Amino acid sequence: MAIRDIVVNPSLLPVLSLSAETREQCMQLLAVLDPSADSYSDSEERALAASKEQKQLFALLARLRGLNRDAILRVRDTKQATAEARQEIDRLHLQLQNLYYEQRHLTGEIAACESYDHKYLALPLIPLEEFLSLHPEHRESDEHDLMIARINHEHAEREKLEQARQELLKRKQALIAENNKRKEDLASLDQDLERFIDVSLCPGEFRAMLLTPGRPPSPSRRSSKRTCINSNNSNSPPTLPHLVLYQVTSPSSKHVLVMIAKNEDLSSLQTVDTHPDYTMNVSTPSPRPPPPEKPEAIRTRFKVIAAFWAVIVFLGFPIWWKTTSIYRASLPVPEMIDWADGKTCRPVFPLKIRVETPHLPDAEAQHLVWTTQHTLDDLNEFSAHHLRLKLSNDNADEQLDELADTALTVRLLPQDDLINPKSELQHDTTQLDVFYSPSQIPPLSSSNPPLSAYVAGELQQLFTEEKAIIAQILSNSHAASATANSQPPSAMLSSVSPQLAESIAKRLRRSMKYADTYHLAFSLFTPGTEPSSWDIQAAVHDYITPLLQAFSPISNFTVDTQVQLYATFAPTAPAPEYDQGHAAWTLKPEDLSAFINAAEWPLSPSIGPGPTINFILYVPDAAQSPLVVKDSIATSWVVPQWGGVVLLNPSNGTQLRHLSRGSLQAPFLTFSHQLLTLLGAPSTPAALPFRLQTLTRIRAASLLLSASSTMGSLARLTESLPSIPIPATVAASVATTLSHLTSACEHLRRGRFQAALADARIAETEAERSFFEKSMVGQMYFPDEHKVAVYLPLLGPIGVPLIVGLLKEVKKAIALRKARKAN
Amino acid sequence: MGVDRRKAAVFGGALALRLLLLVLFPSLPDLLTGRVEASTPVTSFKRLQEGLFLYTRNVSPYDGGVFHQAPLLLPIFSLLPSSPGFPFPTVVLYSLIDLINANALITIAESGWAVSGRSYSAIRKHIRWDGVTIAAWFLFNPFTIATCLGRSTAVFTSTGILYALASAVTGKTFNSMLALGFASYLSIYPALLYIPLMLLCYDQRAQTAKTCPSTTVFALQHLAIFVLSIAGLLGVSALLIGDFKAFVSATYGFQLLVPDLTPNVGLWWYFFIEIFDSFREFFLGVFWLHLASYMGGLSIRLRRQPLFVLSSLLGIFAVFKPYPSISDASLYFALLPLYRHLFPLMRYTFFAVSALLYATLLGPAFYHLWIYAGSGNANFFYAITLVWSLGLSILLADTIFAALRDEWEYDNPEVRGKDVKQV
Repeated sequence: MAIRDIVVNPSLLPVLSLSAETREQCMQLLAVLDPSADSYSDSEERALAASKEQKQLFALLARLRGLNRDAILRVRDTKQATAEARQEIDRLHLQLQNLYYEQRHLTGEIAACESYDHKYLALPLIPLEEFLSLHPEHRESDEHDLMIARINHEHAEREKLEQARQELLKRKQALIAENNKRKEDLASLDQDLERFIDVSLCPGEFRAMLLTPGRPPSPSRRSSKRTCINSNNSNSPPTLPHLVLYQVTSPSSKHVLVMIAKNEDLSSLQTVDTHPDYTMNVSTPSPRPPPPEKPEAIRTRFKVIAAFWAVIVFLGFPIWWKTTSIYRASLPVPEMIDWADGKTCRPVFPLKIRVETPHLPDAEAQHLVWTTQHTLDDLNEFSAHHLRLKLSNDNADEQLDELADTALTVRLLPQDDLINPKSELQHDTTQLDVFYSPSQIPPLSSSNPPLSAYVAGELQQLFTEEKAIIAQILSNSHAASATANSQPPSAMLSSVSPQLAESIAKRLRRSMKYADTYHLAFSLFTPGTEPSSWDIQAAVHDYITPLLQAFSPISNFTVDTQVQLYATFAPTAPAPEYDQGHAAWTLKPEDLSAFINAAEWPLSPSIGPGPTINFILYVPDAAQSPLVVKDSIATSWVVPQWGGVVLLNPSNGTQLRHLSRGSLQAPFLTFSHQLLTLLGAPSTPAALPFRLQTLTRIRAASLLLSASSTMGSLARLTESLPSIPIPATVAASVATTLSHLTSACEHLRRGRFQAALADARIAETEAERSFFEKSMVGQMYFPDEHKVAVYLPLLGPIGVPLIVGLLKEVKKAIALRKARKAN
Repeated sequence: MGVDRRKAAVFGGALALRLLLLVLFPSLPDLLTGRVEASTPVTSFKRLQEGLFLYTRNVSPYDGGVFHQAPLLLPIFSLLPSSPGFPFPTVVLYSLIDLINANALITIAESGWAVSGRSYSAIRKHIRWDGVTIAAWFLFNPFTIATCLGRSTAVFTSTGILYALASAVTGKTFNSMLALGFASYLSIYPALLYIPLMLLCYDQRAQTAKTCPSTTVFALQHLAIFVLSIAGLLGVSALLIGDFKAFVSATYGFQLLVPDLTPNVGLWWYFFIEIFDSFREFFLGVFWLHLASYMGGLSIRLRRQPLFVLSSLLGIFAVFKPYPSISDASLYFALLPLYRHLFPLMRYTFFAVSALLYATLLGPAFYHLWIYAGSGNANFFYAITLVWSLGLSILLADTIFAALRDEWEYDNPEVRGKDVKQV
């Protein structure tokens, strides 16, 4: 029974016995329930017995639980008691510790006190016997009192000595003061003497006099300042000897004084040292102060500092001012900003349209023009761009004068067999022929005849695109400068269909940015060796030069050409595929951008100042011919803002050695068309002169606006960066720009678009020049904080001693003045 | 007679040493001519050759933009046989000029002006070297030898300055001003020596002459001599060159505006490489004013020792002038032994000398690392030139301190031999 051995606590013994009892009971119950033992005859009896046994078991279990609870409670009580006891023990332990510490501290203190090295032990007292002989009354006293008495005695002695020292010091100070005073006197005397000597000059005599007896043999330092004195003193005033004598005696007296002071100094030292009995050293007189500065030395120092400052003030500051000041030419800033905001000039486009009515009487013609004008005005909703009809006069002079500025000539021609009027735009001039049947001539009374409406409608339609482009340009610029007074773009463009607006925007994106000069580069590329030559000169002369001449008022052009053999595709570019249906090699439209092998084909991006427009004539290899663009079967395309490409497939599949003028016709016509597109000419109408005129107006407007906004940017730049230099050339450029802008605006208002374009071009060039002035750009990124970093490292070390020296001198001067005032 | 024999020995030895070096190492002069330490854009012998070549072919020597030296040197050198073929005559000429300089130094030393002046006399004046020793210090100084073999034209400026000093201490004030005019004509900066030199002449005159000349008249008189001598030399140059404006802008404009930033032992080149362009003019002004500002202060403070002021200014120029080289340092080192009596009072001699030696030895090495080996950069060489300047500056400050100390002891005899503290 291991458990009985372990549990010996008497309070637990009942638990053990009870649990054993319970176990017995359980056994019994099990025995009762055991089916194998047939102790009970029937099941009911067995159940009865089982229930009885069970009840007893429950009773026993209840008692066991009670005992268990008791045990737990007792455990709790015991635990609490244990904790309390333990606390008490801890407290006591702590107290004990404290006591230990206290004890140790006290022991340490005692030891420290016992070993303290008191001053009195080290005091250089006089020996005991001596003291006792001096004060016999202390012979009896104990050691402690004796020591006190000795120390007191020492104290008294020392005080006496200190007093003596103070007195001596005072005497010394007085002597020094007197000495200084004498020296001052002497210095002033020197000056007097010098002045006197300047008057009468004799060297020999003076030397002799200086060496009069009675003077100490030490060499005179101060009196030999001026050695040139006139030897002939017969005419000198009689006061001379006295003065000289005084001069002679005074240095000696000074010397005597100095010597006296020295002797006294020595004697005082001796008096201190004559107390050899006391081992204490009465401090050797504190380190002697340096001899006071002579006024002469002070003056010299002042002069030195003044010399340095004179250089700084008279040379340094002017140099600083001159070299670091920034030249800022004055710019008409408000005017420039007004231009940028569109306040000064609101571009208008009054287009003059001549109406020729060779077959109508004047009155009727006038009436027709008037009604057409009326209808036009009603149709027009974009006030900046409006058409002015004018009946042509037969006056030849006026015609010549006005022809250049006339946007369009409308010729009314009668034709008999017409029901409705019809119109035809001539391709080589700006002339619109309107055919009408004579019956349609409006009577003078009618206010809105159909012919007028027809003509007005035609005109309106002709200018729709131009109007849309100009509206877009203006609205862009106004959106940028965000002015409130302009019409909202939607209002200006309400008549323009979204498709048209879209196509205009696309074309604007595609066309080159305006430049004063374009470089046209025509290149012939071929993957093999042939063709190796082309009639380029003739082709350019025939197809390009006329166009360029027409464009000459707008831009300048240069033409370069080249032939490149063995021009292969880039390795990354997808190769053309053979299309059975068309019997041709095809390029996918999405791969066209990779067609140009930019890495290897020598296409210079900039031949000179201004952009380059590249035109590429590509002759494919015979094996890959014909080469076309997939789906559209086109052989040419425009690369936006870059140039155009034309594929030239030899007509009969054989390779050409030389491209003749005839074979170049088609490609060059395409090139000329591409050139127009790239330069931003409108797509409608078909007549070239008309499109050129439109381009003139568009360019004039856009240049005017661009120059104005450049002016605004420049003005804002110069205002926001106050440290940026503005050279005079910039100011001149700005003035030129503004004057040309003004005249361009005036020309526009008058409808002289050619002149307006010429002015706007100059204005744009000058504006760009002034904005990108080199000397301004360099300074732009130089904030003021950098100046500290520039000045400080070098000037700081040089400046600090100079400034400190100056401050010291100023302080001294102020102190001197105050002292003088006090006196 | 004994002294003369010593002098002859020193002079002969110096000449022999130079010729021996030339014979033993025939490539040495060309090597030294190419070193940035020995020849600067304004003193380089190579550039002189270029100018000479143009001059002998009747082209303006300043056309190539390479030659920046005074035109009067050209006719002198055109008399000599061409240096690449016959290096001997040129080296002999330069050696003779060194001897002339040494002779001037002996004159200065023997006049005793270094130790005692009109109103001042050094306390330790018995501690001094005689003229021949000082000449030997100069002639056997490696810097002097390097300058001589490098054939830098700075030696002509040195001659002008030394002769100005020698004439001043012997009372030939007119010659003195002429010599200073010649030196200023060759390279501008000696003009800054005018005021202390004038003071020296005045003191000399006042000490010996019977009458006491008026300061203003004396100064104006000598200024006139000085200016006229320069004007005369300029006039001759103008006759020689023809285009006066081009010549002035190529020589003096070049020295004043410092457009060539070839590395040298000075402080300017690196600074002007680094400075922002818009501040270049301003800092040119600052650097020149810095150089000039010492003149007034030193002349006033050390009024009683004008020769010492001159020496110290030469030392300052060797540190702070736009195109310094070791020839400027050698001029300063030539004058330094005159102040043997100040040596006991100097405190940082060891530090200064070791800094100078350190810079001398490491400078060429760092330059090689930067330019040829490519394993260093400009900062290497600039750092070593800073050490060089630091060494010279310490030496300068120390001698000036010693001179002031000496003066102070003279004024306050009772504190002689006591320790002092600089405040």
